[in-house]
Amino acid sequence: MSTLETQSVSKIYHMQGSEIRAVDAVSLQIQPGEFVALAGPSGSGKTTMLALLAGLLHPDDGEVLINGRSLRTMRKAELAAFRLTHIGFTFQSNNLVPYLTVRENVELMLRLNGALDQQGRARAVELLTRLDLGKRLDNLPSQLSGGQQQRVAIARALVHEPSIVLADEPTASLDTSRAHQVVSTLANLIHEQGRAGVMVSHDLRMCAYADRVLHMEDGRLVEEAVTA
Amino acid sequence: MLPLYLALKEMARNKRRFSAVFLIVALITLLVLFTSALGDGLSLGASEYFDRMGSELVVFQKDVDYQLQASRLGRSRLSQIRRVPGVAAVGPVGVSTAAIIAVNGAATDGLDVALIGVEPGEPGAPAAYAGEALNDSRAAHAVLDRHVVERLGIPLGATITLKVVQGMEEQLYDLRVQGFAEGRKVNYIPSIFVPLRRWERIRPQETPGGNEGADLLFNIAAVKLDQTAPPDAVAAAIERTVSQVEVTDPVTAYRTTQGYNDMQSTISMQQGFMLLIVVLIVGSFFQIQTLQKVAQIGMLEAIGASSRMVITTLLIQIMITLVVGLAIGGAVMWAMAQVLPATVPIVFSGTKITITILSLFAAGPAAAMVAARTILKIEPLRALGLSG
Repeated sequence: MSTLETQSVSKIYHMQGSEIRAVDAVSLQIQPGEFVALAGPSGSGKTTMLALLAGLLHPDDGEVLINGRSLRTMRKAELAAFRLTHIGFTFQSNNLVPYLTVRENVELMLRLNGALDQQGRARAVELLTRLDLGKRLDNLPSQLSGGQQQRVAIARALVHEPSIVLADEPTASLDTSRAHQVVSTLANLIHEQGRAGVMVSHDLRMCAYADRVLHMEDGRLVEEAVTA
Repeated sequence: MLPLYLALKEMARNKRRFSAVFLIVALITLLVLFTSALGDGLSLGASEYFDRMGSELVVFQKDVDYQLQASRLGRSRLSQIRRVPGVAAVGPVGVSTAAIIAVNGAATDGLDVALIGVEPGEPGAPAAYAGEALNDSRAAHAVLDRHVVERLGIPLGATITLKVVQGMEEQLYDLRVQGFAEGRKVNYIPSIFVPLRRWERIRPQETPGGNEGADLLFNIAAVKLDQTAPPDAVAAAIERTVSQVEVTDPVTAYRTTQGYNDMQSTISMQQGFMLLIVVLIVGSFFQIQTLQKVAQIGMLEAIGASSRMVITTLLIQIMITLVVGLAIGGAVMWAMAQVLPATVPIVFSGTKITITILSLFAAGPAAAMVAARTILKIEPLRALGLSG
């Protein structure tokens, strides 16, 4: 069974009398331990697709299934609880709570899940150390570089051991070397821990770290490529 | 508890910002409490004597519209009132003005006072919180109200010198201070109480020293009831039995004081507007503070935090802010009240303080909830500024 599956999922926006199909009948399957990149030009529907996968948006048509469970029938509170346990999320920006330290930001996911114990704390520190942030545990986000903040977000997305990790343009504000470092670390952790990972990126160089690259244009999946 | 943890962490890590917020709430609290206390203090200046008279009814001369100094009553009416069923006691009250120009022979700046003549032990005569109440119907003794004592710092047993105009001349009279009574302003000026016969001699009049042979006149009669009949029935009985009098209760008596209603409505309007403006300011303030957290709230929702948790965090933070701000504002107000000169009439009304506190406590969270509701309605994607 796929960890993540969409069945002809569509999202339509109505603007000034016209209909915009932001995501148009997209079907995909992602297996545990697989890292998939969603690529495409700006406005192609990548982020809307990611939002549908996370249950942040309801599809107008089709189904999103996570571990075989359909998100369609879930109410808002149920979706939030589901997201909390099954999904790890990183964003382009505004990733971290500004008044929590690096360690506290990562532990926040465990607190939200009611699972902050000795083991969880140790896992948080281990992940942060792995992401080369072992000496930054007590720093606030404002004391970190953009790349470091992204790595904290990656740790937060993984610490509660979700089945799916979603990343929206994680390298958007990073220089090239930092971007490579962040994406390769994300890919390694997803592979090692057997999560299903989806990364939205318009930078094809970053897509090289993915197992598959799905190209979107005008809301449709137009091409699928398997990387070496 | 996660919401409390997040609320406290944000406050602890943004001490300067939250100190400024506390200060703003404290200053707003101080402003509302001060203007409210000042307004109540001014109102009290018109009602204090009647409020503390301790009588259920007040008898005026008929057709003077309950104007204190226009009313004239004589001794004969007192005995008629006393005989009306339901009346327990009746006391004459004469009101005029004088100025205290010296204390123990040392000149003061001159303080205008209401010179009130009462029958010792009868309704209208004040109880003393220090020293003794008046007990000799002829002695040159006085009981001072708290305002006079605070303004001039007069000790018990001191001799005060009053200046009054009698005929065409200024006359000076010495009185020994026998006791202190709670504040009893009449028409916004503080009071001193003297026995009615002494008052008759020293009040402003045509003949210096008064006229011993004349009928003793005073302004009103304070009536205490024996509670065997309702006040309205006793008032009607007095008006039937005693000619040329009108009877009312103390509250009506001060409400009909010239200008009282105009002043009272002005003060009430000012207090109401002040509270309304402050509530809107506090509401807007917390609304803006909440709207500034759009990205943060969107991110929390996106990673799976429930709306309830987000709202509880906001509410806890606002309540802490209000409690701290109100406590600081209240403490500063209390400290100010201790050091402000006695000439500044400040009176704290429990009801108004409660209304103020409850209004602020309601406004902050309500406005924040409106903002939070707006934010929570926005998809986390928009809150995060993402686009595809």
